[in-house]
This record gives sequence, structure tokens and C-alpha cells, in this order.
Amino acid sequence: MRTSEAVSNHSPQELSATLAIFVLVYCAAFGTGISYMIKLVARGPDASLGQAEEILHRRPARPLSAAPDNVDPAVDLVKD
Amino acid sequence: MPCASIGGNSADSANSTLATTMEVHPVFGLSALELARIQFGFTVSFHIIFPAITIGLASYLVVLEGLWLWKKVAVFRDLYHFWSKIFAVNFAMGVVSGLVMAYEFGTNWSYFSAFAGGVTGPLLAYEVLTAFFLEAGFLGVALFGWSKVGPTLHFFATIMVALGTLISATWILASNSWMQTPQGFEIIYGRIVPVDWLQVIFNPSFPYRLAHMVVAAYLATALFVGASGAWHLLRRRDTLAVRTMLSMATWMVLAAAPLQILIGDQHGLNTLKHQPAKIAAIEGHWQNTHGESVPLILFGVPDMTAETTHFAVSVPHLGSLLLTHSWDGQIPGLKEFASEDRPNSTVVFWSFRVMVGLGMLMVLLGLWAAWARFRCQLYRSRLLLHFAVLMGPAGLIAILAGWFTTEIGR
Repeated sequence: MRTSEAVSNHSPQELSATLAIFVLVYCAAFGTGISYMIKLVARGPDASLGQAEEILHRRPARPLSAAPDNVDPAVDLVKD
Repeated sequence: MPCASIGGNSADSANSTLATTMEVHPVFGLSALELARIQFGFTVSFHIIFPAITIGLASYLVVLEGLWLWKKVAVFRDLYHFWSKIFAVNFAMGVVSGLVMAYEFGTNWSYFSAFAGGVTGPLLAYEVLTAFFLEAGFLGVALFGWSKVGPTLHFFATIMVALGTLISATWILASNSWMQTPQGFEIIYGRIVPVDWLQVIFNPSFPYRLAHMVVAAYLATALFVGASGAWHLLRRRDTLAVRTMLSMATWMVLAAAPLQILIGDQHGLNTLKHQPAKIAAIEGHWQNTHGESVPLILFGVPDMTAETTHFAVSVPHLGSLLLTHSWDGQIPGLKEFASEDRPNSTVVFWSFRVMVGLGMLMVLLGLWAAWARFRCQLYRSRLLLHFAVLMGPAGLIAILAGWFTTEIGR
């Protein structure tokens, strides 16, 4: 089977319009995602630790709350 | 782009009359067929970046957590938490960008899906059932279960996520390889019917393609991790975690980059056997003279209409040596194939050279870093750190160039 036999019966107008939409949506959605990822990388492995400790220090340290569950990625994710 | 020439010339004439979609009024000089190919090329190119990093990071996370459990050194735990966040963001984008293509098979390539869906459909379904369910199930435990489940169960979850990414790659590469080198099927009433699934999955180019892609994903991730470590060092954030990132990444590049060249060489020989026109197009090789060896054209501009490669700078015998592993061996020239069966040499000649050139730079980075480590300069040499940062996207660019080569080359 050749590529020309595989393609659906759409008009070039339809395909160019959807292609343009694809480019726009992809750049918006994945552009945001990628830049967020780069931002996380740029913050570095140590910055996030410092934050977690800061959060811990701000917690009340009365006897009842003394037991810290110090490393909880879920908490870290929410705070980020 | 990819889901194209299954079976090469075993044309199914029943479909050809149905699917003639060349319209009289093209947009920007592009026909509907070309636009549909650009659309798939665009979406799949965007997509492949994410799975490559997902595959690499998932295995990296296994190594980090394993080292943490084994050696109890806090830096491995900290790096695990750091990279698992980036993994999560990347994973989400991989899923979303992958879904689009599953729809494209139906909307833009409906005649292909009607013809070959008997094979490609189940292979995608196997991926969802065996790989995606595994990944998605354990991902929650890996991301949110650190202080909620025991360390052994958490480590098991991380391993399952990594295993899921590898199984996923296996099914997708089986499907793609089958489109390149199909077997184990019959065409009944104008449709492909699978007759031997083992033959379909373990088709001739599958093992090479899978190994090449998985190592490429590891390399791309190592370069990405290494570049981020080098970037922090250049900004004088010299911590143990940053150093460990760069150290582990450069070890990986040192091992994986030469391995990738060996795998690539074997993949090339396999392609020469099953898709000789692709190799001829990659090399810009038009014809053989009787009894003469094939030179390796380093640079040149292949011209599809003039049937020649302009401005060729070539090394005698090297083509024979690389492709046939002998001094005088010959490979088929492009002129031996009908003109409609010739892949676009102008494009694949260069996309292949971009991939190989970047691969060579990766080997250089691995060796340079090893030398610097030996001289205790790995974390200090600014020139090396700048090079490592520049090589950050090299793995992903090489993956794209490689896929362009294999998909346009058929």
C-alpha cells in the first residue's frame, strides 16, 4: 500500500486549517508544560529541599504535632 | 508520516481508486496528502520528545531509589524527589500528545487503518493493556506514596513504572517495525489479516529498532540531566546533589554513546538487507561501477531530479567498509530502484548525518568528562560544563533526526 492510498478524503483546506490549530494548541499547551519543566529543573534539587524545611519550621511544634512526617512528596507537590 | 508504505509495493489496488485525494486547489502549493503527512509528522515529532525522557527518567529513578535503599545516602533520596516531579510533568505531556495520534490514524489515515488495522490496532491495544495500565497504576504510589507505603513496596512501584515504559516502547516499536518490515500476515479481501502474531511482533527490524530507541532514550535523558547539573555548577550552585547529577549522567553517556554506535551499525546492516533503497538514499549513492568499492560521501547535496549528488566530498572504500564490512563490497545504488520507489535522498542524507554527528559529539562528551574526572576537573572545567549544557538537547534532536531518516526513507 502506498502513502497516497492510505490517506483519508479530506480537502487541503480542512487539513491546513486543522494543522494551523494543531500548531497553535501544541505551542500553547506543551510550551507551557515544557517551560514549567525547565523552571523546575532550573530551581534545582536543593532549592526544593530548603522549601520543605522552611514549611516544617513554620509548623507549630507543640508535643502533639511534634512528630513530623518530614518527607512527603505529596505535600511538596501541593506547595510547589 | 510513518503509517505509510506497509508492504512496500504489495499495493492493494482495491483501495487506490477510493483514496485518490489529490485536490485541484492545493493550499500553499501543498496537496491534501502532503498536508496530512506534515500534520502527522508535526504531532509525532512533538510527542516522541516526552516518551524518550519518560523512559530514561523512569529507569534513572529506579537507580536513584535503589542507591538510596542500599547506601542510605540522603543525596539519592533528594535527587529521587527532585526528578520524580519533572518525571510527572513530562509523563502527563507524553500521554496527552500520544492520544492525538491514536485519533489521527482514524481521521487522517482511515484507508490505512481499514487496510492494516488488523495488526496495528491490537498492537496499540496491547500497549494500553500491558504497559499503560501498569504505569498508570503504580505511578500514583511512586509519586504520592513515599511516606504512606513501606520502602520495599515503594521501590517495587518505581520499578513497575519503569518496566511499564519499557513494555510500552516494545509494543510501539513492534508496530512501527512491522510497518517497515512486515511479515506474518495475509491480505484477504483487501485487508491485512494477521496469521502469526509472533512473526508480526518479532519482525526482522524489531530487535534493532527497539534497542536503538531505548538506548537513545537513556542517552537523551542522561544528556538532559547532565546539562542541568552543569548549568547549576556554572551558576556556582556547587552542591553534592548537583555534582551527583553530573557525575551519574556523564558515566551514562560514556557507556551508552559508544554502545549506541554499535547498535546503530547493526541496525544499518539490517536496513541494508531489508530496505536497501533507504540505505542508498542515506548515502546519496546512485550507481555502482563494476568491480569498484563504494566511497563514503561525507558531505554533498543529493539531487533527486538530476540523479546525482552534487559537491560530494567522499572517502574511498569507507562506504564498503562500513556497510558491507569488506574492502570492495557494493550496495545497491538508487538508480536500481524505480523513481517512484526512491526515498528523498536530499532529506535523509542530511537527517542521518545530523544524527550521526551528534552521536559522535556524545562520545566526545563522555570521553572528555571521563578524562576530566580522572584529572579531578569534572566539576571545575568551565569549558566542559558549557559543552555539557549545549549538549542538553542533543539527544532529543538526534532522536528526531533518526526518526525523520527512517520514516522519510521508505
